Amino acid sequence: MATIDDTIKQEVKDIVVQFFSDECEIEPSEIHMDTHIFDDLDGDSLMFLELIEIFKKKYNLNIELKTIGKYSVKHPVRTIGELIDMQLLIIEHENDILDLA
Amino acid sequence: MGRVFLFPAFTLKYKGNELLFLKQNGIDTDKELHLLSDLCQIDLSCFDTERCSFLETPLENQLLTYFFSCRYYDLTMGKIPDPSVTTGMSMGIYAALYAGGFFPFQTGAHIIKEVYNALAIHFQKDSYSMLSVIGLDENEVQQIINSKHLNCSVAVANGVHSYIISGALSDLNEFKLIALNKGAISAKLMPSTIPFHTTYVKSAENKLHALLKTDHFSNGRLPYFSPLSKSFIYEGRHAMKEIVDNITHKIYWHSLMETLIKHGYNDFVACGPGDSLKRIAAFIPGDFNMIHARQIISDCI
Repeated sequence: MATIDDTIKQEVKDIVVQFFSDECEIEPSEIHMDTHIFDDLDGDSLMFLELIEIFKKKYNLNIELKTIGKYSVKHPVRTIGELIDMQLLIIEHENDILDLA
Repeated sequence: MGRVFLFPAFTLKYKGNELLFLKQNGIDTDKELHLLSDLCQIDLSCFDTERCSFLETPLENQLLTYFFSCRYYDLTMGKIPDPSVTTGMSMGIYAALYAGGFFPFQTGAHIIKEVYNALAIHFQKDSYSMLSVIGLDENEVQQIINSKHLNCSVAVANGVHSYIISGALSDLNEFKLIALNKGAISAKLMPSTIPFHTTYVKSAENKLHALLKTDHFSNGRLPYFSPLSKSFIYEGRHAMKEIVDNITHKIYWHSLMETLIKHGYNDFVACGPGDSLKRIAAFIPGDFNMIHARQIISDCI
């Protein structure tokens, strides 16, 4: 579990924006916090899974995918901003994220 | 270093520039789609990636995926050395066999249509479908199926957390609810009425064998790597048998790629519309490169 500071916040934002910029072949400047992942970027679950794996490796996270799945049912992610917030919660709480729900 | 061309089965989503890309590279797509429409007696001439993409109609989707895959392959020819081997994900077998020289383009399109129609008729009184589930491992998937005695089974293992399940529609709907409750990140029904890659299709096996004729097939110019036997196919008669086996057997796609990587094939080219194969490859361990055929074609202009 990590304490979230401004450096981590910026790092997570940069990774998410760069990921969607590469995957969707658009400029990072075109991706905003309210950009809709599915409607605007044509994102999908495999992209979501890939991002989770990136963060699991980068922050050595102890979290099961199904924990994230269960959390997502109660807190569905639609925008880039919501996705960044969820990734920060995962980094901060790992498998305990369900206790927040 | 061996190069493998991989061909997708269906298109889940287009990048949006596929038609323009072919046109810019000298393919008369209007004429070709009309010819394909005439050949298959299905109107594909209105196709565009936004308004008329045929994503929900399985035969049309399969034919268009075949069309793009074959034409991308044609455009790479002469630009790089020939691939060492080709292989196809599920119904991507047809484009892979075309690329390997087992049959001409028209024959592949004809076989796709005949096989699909035979299966559609065979299953017309039943209610089957396919479902994609992401986020559970195979044990968890199997546990759900076993615990509820569901009439469905794993058809394709794309990766350790990504599966396609085939079976009775009502059971797949039940599976979907349980899977999401157990923590699947996504569980979605796919637009198919045929339970591909399962023993359910075995009842249609004889009909499929009767449809395929040995004189449709030549021996390959390039080998086809079987996702089922994990061995190379060179002869037309074996390719013909593989088409039927491919429909009736489960596919471990990640294991196929891992086997190829172990054998020194570490240069993969995804050859088809969209980028589903490239995305799946992101979860496969090993030292390999994966690029899209579009990149090869663009880099050589």
